Amino acid sequence: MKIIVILIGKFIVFVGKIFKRGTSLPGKVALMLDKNIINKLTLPEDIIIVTGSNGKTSTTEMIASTLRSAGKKAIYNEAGSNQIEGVTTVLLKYCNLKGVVKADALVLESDERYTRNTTKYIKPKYMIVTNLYRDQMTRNGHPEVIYDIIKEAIDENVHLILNTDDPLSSLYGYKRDNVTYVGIEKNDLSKIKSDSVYLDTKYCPNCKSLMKYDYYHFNHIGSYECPNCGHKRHNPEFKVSNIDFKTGVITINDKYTIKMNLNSIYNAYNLLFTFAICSLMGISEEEVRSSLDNYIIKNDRVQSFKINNNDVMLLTSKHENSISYNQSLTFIKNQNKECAVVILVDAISRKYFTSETSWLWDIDFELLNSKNVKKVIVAGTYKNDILIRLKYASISEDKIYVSSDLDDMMDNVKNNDYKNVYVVTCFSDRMKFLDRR
Amino acid sequence: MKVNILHLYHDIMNLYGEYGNISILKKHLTDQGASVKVDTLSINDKIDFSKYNLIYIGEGTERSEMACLDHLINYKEELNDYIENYGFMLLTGNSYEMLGASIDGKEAVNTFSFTTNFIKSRNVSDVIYESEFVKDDLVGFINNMSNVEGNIYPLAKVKFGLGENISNKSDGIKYKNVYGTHLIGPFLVKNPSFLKYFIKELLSSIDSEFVYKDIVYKEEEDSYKITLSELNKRKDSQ
Repeated sequence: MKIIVILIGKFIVFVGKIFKRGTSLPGKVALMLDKNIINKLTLPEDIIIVTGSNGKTSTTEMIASTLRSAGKKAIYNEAGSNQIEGVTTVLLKYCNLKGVVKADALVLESDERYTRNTTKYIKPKYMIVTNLYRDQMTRNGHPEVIYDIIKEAIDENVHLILNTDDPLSSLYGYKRDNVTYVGIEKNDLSKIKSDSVYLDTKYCPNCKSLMKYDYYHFNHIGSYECPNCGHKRHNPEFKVSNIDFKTGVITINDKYTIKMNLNSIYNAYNLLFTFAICSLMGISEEEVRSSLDNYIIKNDRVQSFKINNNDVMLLTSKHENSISYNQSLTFIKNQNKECAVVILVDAISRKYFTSETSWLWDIDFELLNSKNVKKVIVAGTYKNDILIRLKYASISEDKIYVSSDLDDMMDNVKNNDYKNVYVVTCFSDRMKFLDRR
Repeated sequence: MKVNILHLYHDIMNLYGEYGNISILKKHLTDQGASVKVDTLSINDKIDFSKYNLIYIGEGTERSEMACLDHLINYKEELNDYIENYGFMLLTGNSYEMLGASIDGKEAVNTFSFTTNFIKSRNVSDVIYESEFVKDDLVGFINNMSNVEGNIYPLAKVKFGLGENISNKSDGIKYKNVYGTHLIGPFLVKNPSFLKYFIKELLSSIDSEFVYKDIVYKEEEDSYKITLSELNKRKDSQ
């Protein structure tokens, strides 16, 4: 029976390739035929699960790439197939007819809501939790809900790699031994006072006492200690000891310098996690460093092109995820180029319907008050909601252009010489811009 | 005319951008000629309810709600006096649950006899509600993990989506000048008619001569119309 399921799975993978679709379908069918199919396969010893709110896809890709350049055969699931069906597809694709998965390492990006399903069948050696942020709360619930759900996927044997700067996800390491912490040390952009519109761990996630912070990198990410229960930022074993945002170079453990292709602190965390796990797996630190130096992420979240005289950069951000938006807005501010910014919110999700827009109030739109931003173009079904939020963020009215419809948005970009245009929108909406070029 | 607002638990019951309610209130009240002062207090502070014309609380996680209840329960009598003496309260998201008899078995402020229990699943839904005191329907979203039982002072009837528990077709609290709803986030931004009604009620209670100045806030009206039409499309397609 096993061999039949494997053959059927492989056949659908093959057909899917021809039609360029269906990353989770083969796994779905195989699981329908035999829900224990994964238990019948022989998996590699080195299994790494990457979960958390932001940075999963990039981190997974960079880990696999680094392992490969060190001569290991690493396989991973591609973006969008991060639930059990997608994971099964990868396994079927790479196993032989005896069910032996031909790889040295299996790197799995795992949807934070479904990690507990994956770990029912797959026992990872390492688990990375990148961070826990407010993310698609209509679908996921709030970060404490996600915290509880991921916790069900963590057994006592798995070696955790945690972000010591995040008070919520680092709580998995509270009174636990097999943990490696990573973190970014205080740097030029660290703030003594929080300047974001909300602070999720102002009160300790463990006991709800007022948390003591030394500094903040952004939102609730920083250095903290709870005077009541003792939950605190541990000294990281792998640390970004220096970030030079001018040159986009980070230094890990005072020694290894990596040039960031995407110059942001968010990306620095992805690189740091990759550095840590690959080092723990025995790859030499110098080898990891050179593999990550100037690494260009293959996913297409950032796209650059020209529209008439304007250099346009589309920064795919996630609706319902204020940190993702802040990441884009901070990038625009730090680039410091004279520019216009398009904010497009038309369909809030591509997977489900909602009119929920409260997340717009969690975004630090105040960043658009930056002098280099000359115009803000708002567009899409929820343009009025954006406009209201921008006004309360004290963006001057003459700086805002409200497009009457999506064509008018594009006409505005085409007919004006802004020099640079940044488009901040989501997977669900970006084709509405790209198709009108 | 002075209006003193207390944004209570501003830094912990703030899961959905609730400060937007305070921002818009401040702007609209100022436009009506009031001089507005907003205080923010939280779980380690002392509260003097008598200083305020309006108390606002937003939604938090279940653990945060319980931490706030631990604090608010110390002010049970003062808060009930404030309410019985027609003090204004606006409570969005799960915060009005603290005024019931209990939450998950834990004693609550007991202004009302309803009880709240946490559930394993989430009540999540886009909603349209209708109320008796505002002609326009209320729009918004609920996202909570609790069921309210035995509420005899509902604010609104459910026209589309879920209410304060899975079987009940109503939601919220309207008692004297207490207004509560499970609708999350900047509820006042999303519902211009309710905002106008609420401001009239609040300012008339401070100054009986108060006359509302009609001011057009176009994008707020447009936002409401679009949201209502999107929700109605959704409702009709089901």
